Amino acid sequence: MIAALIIKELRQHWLVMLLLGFLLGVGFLLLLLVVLLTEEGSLLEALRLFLQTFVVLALLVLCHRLVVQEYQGKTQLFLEALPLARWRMVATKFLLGLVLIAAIVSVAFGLLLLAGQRGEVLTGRFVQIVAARVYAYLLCVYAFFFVMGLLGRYRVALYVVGILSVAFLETTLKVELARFGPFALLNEQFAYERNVFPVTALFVTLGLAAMLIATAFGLSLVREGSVATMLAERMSHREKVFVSLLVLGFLVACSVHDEKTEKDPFEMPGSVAKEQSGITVKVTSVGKSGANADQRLAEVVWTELDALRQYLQLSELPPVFIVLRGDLDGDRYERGELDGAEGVLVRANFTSTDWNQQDFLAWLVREVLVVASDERLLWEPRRWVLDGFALFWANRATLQTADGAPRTLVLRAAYGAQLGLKREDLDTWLAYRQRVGDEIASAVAWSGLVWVARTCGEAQCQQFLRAVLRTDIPSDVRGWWYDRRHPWPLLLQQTCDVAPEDFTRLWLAYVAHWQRETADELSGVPRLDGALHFEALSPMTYKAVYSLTADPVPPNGRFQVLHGVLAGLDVELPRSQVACEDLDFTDGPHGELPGTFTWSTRLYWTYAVRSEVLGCDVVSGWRCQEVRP
Amino acid sequence: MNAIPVLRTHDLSLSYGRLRAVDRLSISVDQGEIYGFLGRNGAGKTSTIRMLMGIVRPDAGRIEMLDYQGKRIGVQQKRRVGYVSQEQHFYPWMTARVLGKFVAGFYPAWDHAEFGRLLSVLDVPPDRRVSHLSGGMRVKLGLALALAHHPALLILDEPTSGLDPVGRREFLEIVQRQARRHQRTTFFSSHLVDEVERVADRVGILHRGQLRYEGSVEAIQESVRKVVYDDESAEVMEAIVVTESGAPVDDFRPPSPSAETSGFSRRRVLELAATHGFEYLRDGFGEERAVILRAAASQWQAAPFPRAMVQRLSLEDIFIALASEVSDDL
Repeated sequence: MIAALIIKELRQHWLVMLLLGFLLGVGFLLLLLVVLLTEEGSLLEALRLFLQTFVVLALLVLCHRLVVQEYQGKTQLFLEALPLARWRMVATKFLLGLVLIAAIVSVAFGLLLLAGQRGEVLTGRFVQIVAARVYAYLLCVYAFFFVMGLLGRYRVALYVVGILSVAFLETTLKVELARFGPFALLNEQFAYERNVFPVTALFVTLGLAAMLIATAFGLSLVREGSVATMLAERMSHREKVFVSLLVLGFLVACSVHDEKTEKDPFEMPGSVAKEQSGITVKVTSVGKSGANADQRLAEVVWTELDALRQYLQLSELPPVFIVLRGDLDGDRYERGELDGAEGVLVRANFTSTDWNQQDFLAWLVREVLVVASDERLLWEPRRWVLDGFALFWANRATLQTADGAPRTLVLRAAYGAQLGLKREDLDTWLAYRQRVGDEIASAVAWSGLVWVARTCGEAQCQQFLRAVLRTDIPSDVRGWWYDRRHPWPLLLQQTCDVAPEDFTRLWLAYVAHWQRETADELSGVPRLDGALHFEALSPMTYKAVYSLTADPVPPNGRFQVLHGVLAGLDVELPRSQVACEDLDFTDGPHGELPGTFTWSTRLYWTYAVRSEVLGCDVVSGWRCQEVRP
Repeated sequence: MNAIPVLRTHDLSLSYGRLRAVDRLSISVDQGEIYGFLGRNGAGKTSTIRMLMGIVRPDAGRIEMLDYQGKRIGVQQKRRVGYVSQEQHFYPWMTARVLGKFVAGFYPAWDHAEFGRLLSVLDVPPDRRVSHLSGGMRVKLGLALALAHHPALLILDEPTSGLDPVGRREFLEIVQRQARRHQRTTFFSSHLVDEVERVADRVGILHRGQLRYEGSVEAIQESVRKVVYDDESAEVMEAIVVTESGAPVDDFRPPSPSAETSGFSRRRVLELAATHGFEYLRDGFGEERAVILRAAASQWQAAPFPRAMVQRLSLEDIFIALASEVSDDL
C-alpha cells in the first residue's frame, strides 16, 4: 500500500527529482569551489552555504511538487477513496521528501568529510555536532515548506509577508535572527565548533520542527482534510485583491513603523557642536586642527544648512557629523555608516591646503538632502534636479550678476552638451552620468536650473526646487506613487509655466550659446575611446588588456583606468570602492592592467583623463563587462 | 429465502456547520440487489456516500457494512467495496494501465486479468493518458477500477451525470449485467429517476437529508397515488345542499361530464383523506385538479373515493411529490 504510493510519487516526480539532484550537485560543487578559492578555514563551510541556499530552494520546489500539486489537482480526493488512511498518505509524502533531501545532503556531507580528512581534524564528536546541526536544520526547514505547501493559495502571500517580516525584524527591530533556532545552527561556528553541542538552538529547532509537523498533519487531517482541500482552491478575484491589500498594508505598516522608530543620537566624543533651530553640526579633528578651526567649520556648515532649510522650506534636516581624515585628498569626501543612529557622517580633510570649502558644501548639501529624503531623491526620474541643485546652491550668488556663471561649470556644461544630451536623458539620468562622468553630468544639470532661474525667475525656480526636492515624502511605495503623480515635468509646468518639450529645447539652445563661446577652449579637451578585453591566466584568473585612443592626447601623457567589481544587482558603486590605475600614454595605446581578475565577476570600468580646462576628469564612459574571454 | 443486508445505516447524521446535510438516515441494502438512491441536487446523497466510504466521519449514527459495525468504515472494509465517484480525480499523467497498477497496490484481491478484460469490454484504451480521455471514458475507467478487485459491494455516486444519453444507457447496462451476473450488491445514487427506475430493485428517496421513502418501485407506486377532483360541480352541489337542508344529499347527481369525480371538491378530498389516514403530499402538477396522497396499499383498496378518481403515478411524479415542499393544508 505504502509502496504503491511511493512508486506513484517517484513516477510522478522522477524528472523533477532527478533535475533537483543534478542541480543540487552542481550547486554544491560550485560552493565547494568558492570555499576552496577563498581559502576558508574548513571545507564544511561549503555545506553551510549549501544548506542556506540551494537546499532551501530545492525544498521549496520539492514541497511544491509533493504537496501543492496533489492538492491543487484535487487528486488527493482520489487517494481518499482508496483503502488508505489519510494520515498515511500525508506521512508517506512527508517522509519521502525528507528522506530524499536528507540523502542528497548526506552525500554532500560525506564527501566533505572524506575530503576534509586530509587537512582537518575530524573527531567523532565534531562530526556528531555538525550532523546534529545539519539534520535538525533540515527537518525544520523541510517541515516549514511542507506546511506552506498545505496552505495552498495563501502560500505565496505568506512567503512575501515572511520575507518582509524577517527583513523588518532584522533591520528595524534589530532582532538578531542569526542567533535563533535553525538560523543559529548554521552560524559562523558551524564548521569550527568541535566540542560543544548547540543545545539551545537544537532544542528550539526541533521544537519548532515538531510544531510545524503537527501543523502539517493538523491541516491535512482536521475536518476530514477539508481544510487543506479548501486552501488549495484557486483564489477568487476578490480574494486576490484582498490579499494584495493585506500584503501592501503590512508593507506600509512596516515602513511607517520604521519611520517612527527614533534612533539613538550619534555620539562623537571631543567634537565641537553648533546646535540651533533644530540643526545640529558637530565637527571633530581629534585635536589636530584645533577647536577654533572645528568651530569655524561647524558655524559655516550650520549657516549653510539653515539657509538651505529656509530656501527649500524643509521641516527638518538630519544632524551632520564631520570628522577629519588626514589621509584624504582635500577634494575628496567620504560618507561614513551610522549604524543604528541618524545623521550624516562625513570624513574630509578640511586641514588640507587644497581644501575648497565651496566645493565641500556643494557636496555636503547633496548628501544631506539624500539622507533627509531617506534616499528617495536618488530615484532616477528626478535625480538630475538633485545633481544640478548641489552646484546651483553652492553658486547661487553668481545668479545675481548679469553673466556671472562660474567659468568651470560653463565649460563642463558645454562639454557635456557637446557629448550629446536629449530629453530622454533626463529620465534616464544614471545612464547619462555613466556616459559623461559625474562632474560633467552635474554641471549639465546645473545649467538646466540656471536656465530656469534666469528665464522664469528665481522665485519660480525656487518653487520648482521646493516641489521636486521635498524630503517629507516617504521613500517607499507612497513615495513611488507620489513621484508618479507628480513627475518633474508637471511640477515645472505648474511652477514655471514651461512645457517640458519647450524646456529641453530652450535650455539646449541656451547651452549651445555657451558651446560656441567656449569652442576654442573645449577643443583641447580630450575625447576618449577604448576597449578592454580579458585573457586567461588560469581557468579562474584573468588579466585585463586595455586599448585606448585619446584625441588630443593629454599634455601630461597620463590617463587612468577606474574600475570596481559590481555585486549581484546593478546598484551604484560608491567612489570608495572604485580602484584607480594610473597609466602612461608613452607606454602605447595597448597594455595590461596591473592585477588580475576573477572569472565571471562583473567589472565596472572607464578610462579617465584629467582635464585642466574643465577642472575635472573626462571619461570614456562607464561600462559593465563580465570577466571572460 | 431471507434477504441478507450488506449495508445498513442507523440514524446516520452529518452536518456542515449549521447545515444538516444528512439527518438520521436509516437505510438497508440487501445482498445482490441494486439499490437506487434518489434525491435532488444537494439532498445529501454524496454526503451519505462519503460517510459510507469512510471519507468523512458521521456526527452521529452507525454503519453496518459487510461484517463491520461502527461509525467509520476502515481500510479493511474499503478493500471489499468498489466505488465510482461523481467526479473522476485521476492523475492526468497516468494511463489506464498505469492507473490500474497503482490502484492494484491497495487491493489484495486485485485481478489484473479482470481489469484488462473490463477495459476491453468497456472500450477504454489502456495506454492513453487519463488527461486525453473523454468524460464518458473516465467514468468507464472508474467503473473498471471499482470492479477489478471483485468487490462485494459497489457504490456509485451519480456516475452518469456527465454522460450523454447513449453513454448513460451503456453504463447502466454494464452495471446491471455486472450486478446480475455476479450477484453484486450495488448502491447507486442519482437524481435521474428514469435510470433508477430502469435498473433499481429498490429505491430510497432522500430529501433535505431525510429519507422520505424506501422500498421497491412497485410498492411505492402502490402507495403514492393521485386523486382527481372536480371543483366546479362540487361547488354547485355544496351550495344547493347548504341552502336546502344543511346536510349532505346522498343521491345527488350533478350534471357534469365526469359523473364519478363530481361532488368531490379539493376540500372534501382532503377531509376524507385526513379522516382515513392518508398522507397528503402535494397538489397535482400544474393546473391539474388533483391531490397526491400516500397510504398503504391496503388503505387504497378501501379508499373513500370512487375508483375512477384514483390514478397511478410514474416514479418520476412520485419522486417529485416526495422531494418537493409539503404544504400545510392538511
